[in-house]
Amino acid sequence: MTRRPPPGWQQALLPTFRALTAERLAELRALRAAVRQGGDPAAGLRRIGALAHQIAGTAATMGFARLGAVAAEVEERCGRIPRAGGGGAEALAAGLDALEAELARAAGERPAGPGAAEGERG
Amino acid sequence: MIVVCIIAGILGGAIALGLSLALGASLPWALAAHAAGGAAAMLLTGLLLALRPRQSAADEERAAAPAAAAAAPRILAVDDDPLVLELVVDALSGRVEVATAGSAPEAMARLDAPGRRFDGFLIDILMRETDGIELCRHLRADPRYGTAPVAMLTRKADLPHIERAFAAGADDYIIKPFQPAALADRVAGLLRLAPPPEPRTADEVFAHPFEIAGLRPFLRAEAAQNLLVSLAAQQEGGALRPVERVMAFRMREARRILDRAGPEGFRAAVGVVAQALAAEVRPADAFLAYVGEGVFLGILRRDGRLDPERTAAAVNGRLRRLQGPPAAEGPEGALAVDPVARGETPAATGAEP
Repeated sequence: MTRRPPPGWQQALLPTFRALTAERLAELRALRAAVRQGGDPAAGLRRIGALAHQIAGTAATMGFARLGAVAAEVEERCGRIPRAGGGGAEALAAGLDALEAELARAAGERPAGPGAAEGERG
Repeated sequence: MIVVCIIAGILGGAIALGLSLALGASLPWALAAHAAGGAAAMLLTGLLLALRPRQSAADEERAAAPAAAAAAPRILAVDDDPLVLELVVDALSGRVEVATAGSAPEAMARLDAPGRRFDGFLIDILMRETDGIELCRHLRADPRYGTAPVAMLTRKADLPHIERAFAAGADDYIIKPFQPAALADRVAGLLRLAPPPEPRTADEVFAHPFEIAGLRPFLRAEAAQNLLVSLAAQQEGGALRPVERVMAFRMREARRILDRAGPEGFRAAVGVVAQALAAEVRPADAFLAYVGEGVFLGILRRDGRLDPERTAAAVNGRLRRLQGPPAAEGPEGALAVDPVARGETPAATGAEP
């Protein structure tokens, strides 16, 4: 199937999106590393949740629906774990792995056109 | 009409759009119904169509004239994500002048900076330092922006955030991620809120909603409509379906009060009834809105309780105490409300006793 080119506004904003995505990927890796090395897990979780919140807010608009969905799931899990008393850590770790992978793809990949808006991009 | 809208809701968004237009809704109202999709949204829209008086040709002319003459409206978009700000600027380019701020404190500083005043605001909720709902409260407390259109633009799609935003004075609630064309439509609708056309004739005063200023838990009629659309889009709205959250109260003999007291007297009477309603309805229980034709809307909050019959009785008791012994003459002697039964068309039809 031939992919349609992304709309003009999306092309114009793509460099900003990629740059931000690369920054967020680096921050996510640094936060995870800090927690692994004994940093405050609650503070790390809050910041990761905020990062995921921001990613989920724009990724689908920019054509990266899967990244948006993974980020939304991580955001939701980050909010749920403190309330549930620490359960769900494994699922969160898996979600964070998926988020890192999607961020890496989005930072390096060119999204397809609007026809791919529901998930096949990124 | 409501039955027709229920059927239309079941048939889906596209049919809803056409039917709403056919029923006399203005385009933004019909688009809101279409965007909200589902049957519940259509039920609510049907109720609102019944409540909402139609816009006269004179209204449309008055609304269009200043828009043609004025410069592009100027809004302030506030978000801590620079990409969102770029998307907003891009989505609205050519139609709206967009200034941006990366935080609530920066936005507050922009309010006092030299330059043209803002005609509206688009505000993210979750931001570092001060959140967007607090910023909305700050705007409402600022005499320059107490009635300026404000929309939240946020990822937070849950009912508590939606209710907090409207309680803080938001007029609309837009959920991210958004499509730029859809955002432009919503902002165009938002900016139509200011300045409202001033009704001239007695019939116009009767038909139009007007703002019940500074009285909690009152919302503008348009904000109430947007709240209903947001509720209809809720997946987890609690035990009640959106349509079950809505109730209406009709001023008894509203048309007669207008005829006897004139437009200013009618407005004053609506104000007195609004105060009695506000005294009997706790902000934690429900939002209220005056939607024209002597009709007040109540929208139950998530954990709120409000019995329409009891509320009307309490309001009428309060009005009786306010008015003292029944007066032989004068419209103030007739002030009372009746709850509107579900399924009944609440708009005054001229068939009042």
